[in-house]
Amino acid sequence: MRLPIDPSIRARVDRIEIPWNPHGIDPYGVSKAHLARMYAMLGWLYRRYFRVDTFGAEHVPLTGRAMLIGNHSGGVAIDGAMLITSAFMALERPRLAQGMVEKFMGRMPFSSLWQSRTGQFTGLPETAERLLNDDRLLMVFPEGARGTAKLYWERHSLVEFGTGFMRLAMKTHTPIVPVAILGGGEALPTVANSYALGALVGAPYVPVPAYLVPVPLPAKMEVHYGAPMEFAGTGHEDDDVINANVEQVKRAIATMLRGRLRELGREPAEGLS
Amino acid sequence: MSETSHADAPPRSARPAGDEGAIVITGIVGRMGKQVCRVLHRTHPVIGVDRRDFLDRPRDVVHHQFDLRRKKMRDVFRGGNVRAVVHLGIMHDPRASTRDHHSWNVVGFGKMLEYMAQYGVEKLVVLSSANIYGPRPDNPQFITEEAPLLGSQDFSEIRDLIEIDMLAQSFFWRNTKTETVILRPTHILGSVRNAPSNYLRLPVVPTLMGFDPMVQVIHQADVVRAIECALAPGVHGIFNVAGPDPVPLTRMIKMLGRPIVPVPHTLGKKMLTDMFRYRLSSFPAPELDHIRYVCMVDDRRARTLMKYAHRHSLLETVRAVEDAV
Repeated sequence: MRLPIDPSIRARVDRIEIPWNPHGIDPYGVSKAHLARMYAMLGWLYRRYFRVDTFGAEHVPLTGRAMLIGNHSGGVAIDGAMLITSAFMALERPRLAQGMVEKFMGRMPFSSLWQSRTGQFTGLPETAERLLNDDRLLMVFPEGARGTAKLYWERHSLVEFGTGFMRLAMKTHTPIVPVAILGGGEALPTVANSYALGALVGAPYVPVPAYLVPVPLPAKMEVHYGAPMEFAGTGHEDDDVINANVEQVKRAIATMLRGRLRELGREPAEGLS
Repeated sequence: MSETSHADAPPRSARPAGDEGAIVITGIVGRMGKQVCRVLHRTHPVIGVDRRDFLDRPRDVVHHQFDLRRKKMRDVFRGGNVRAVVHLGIMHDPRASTRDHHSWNVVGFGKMLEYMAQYGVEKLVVLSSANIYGPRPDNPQFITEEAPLLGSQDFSEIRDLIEIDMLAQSFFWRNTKTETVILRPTHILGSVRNAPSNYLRLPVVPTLMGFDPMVQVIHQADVVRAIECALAPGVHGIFNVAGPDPVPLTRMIKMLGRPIVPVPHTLGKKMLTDMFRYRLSSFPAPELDHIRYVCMVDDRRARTLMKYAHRHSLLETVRAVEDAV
């Protein structure tokens, strides 16, 4: 059975600036048909289920290379999916945000196929660099699996950021757009992570919510884009320099999170500094 | 391998000016060898080496019917006024023993490299393969020449193919007077009898359920073209070589109008292991990873430095498997 796809979604997919071949596939394997199906599903979640509000979309460059650097929360990367949808739905000209996914996903049937057809590739520096050199929009969650492993009460905190994205941004002269995402932790309120179950299915862990089945709840989510940040350099700088730059990005995300939480009358997490 | 200086070696570049010397093609009787011979003999003297008889040999081609491992190989270089070697005589027969593979591919090739160094051959072109990178779930979308050769991690039978590449690399560094070119083409399609062409010739093509990797292919004539580019003076190094833009595997099969049967990987692996054991299939089970994971190369270096350009479209390349076998 084929999913009915809104013609407006197909029209927006056509507007994504990617060098499609006559089969509607780009050299990496991204397919127009798969994108339309993905955005049809995610679009419903974005508009109706999670009722996502996007703020600051004007900060995302409409052409050329850029990196979206976001925070994770909630046991699975719902925030990543909503960020991809936001870059498609909320920008004046839709862009395909291409994520770097965990390596174990590439071994799984169907998941491996869908991630490649929708431009979500295994997190490798070589692939990321090539995508940026091809002027794509890269989406990175520097907290990695540590970020999605946050428990419900840790959902508004930030854990340690990896530094690879910063070296890459400096090497490829790519502007960084910090992104704060709220609501992932409410959508999947994890109370524990089962590492044993994870080992069984080949994933780092399986999130366990209070209601046991890891199905996201229809919590409201928000995506906040910050002003682009540029860092000069070659990417081969000392760790001290890189760490200081990473800290700036982390602080920009924390500031957006803290500000919004205060506006909503909620107390920011202690580690959110 | 021993050092390259030999007391009985003649001085290098002993050929008179204007004498361009012959090109030795190993494995000349194979389907790819014949294609290369057909193109090169028009412009260069060609010497073939193959243990098989070369029945439809062009008249101007000298053919030595013996094994690459024989000592007679030295005579080819001693008396042949050899300018270049195109090494295609690589054994990749899944039914042959590992001892045979090693003795032919590694020992035989190593000996030939010694003779080449001894007699000052100016150019070596080795037809390696992009398969030595190995199809893996954590491969980058486009593998560059600097990537590690991990193909034997899950398919140990291709260890010797990696060793050939490594031997050629070591020869490249140790014998700077010889221009060594290592070509790593993606799946070659055409009348050749290799795994990808044989796979696409199946009347019903099995795929793995939930997997549809992007696949790069190259027409056999484009490989010949790449070899011609590699023979140009001044060209040396390692080059990935690909044909037209990649497409998903299933789309390629559909171009041939063949029915597709998706099979779960565990079932496919079990079936193929048994079928290979009972000689009902020529595909070893680890080759399933080629229809499971991506193994595409970045061939920009060949296109810029070697001036290589493919000439066959995707449709022509895919349909080439239906050429007379």
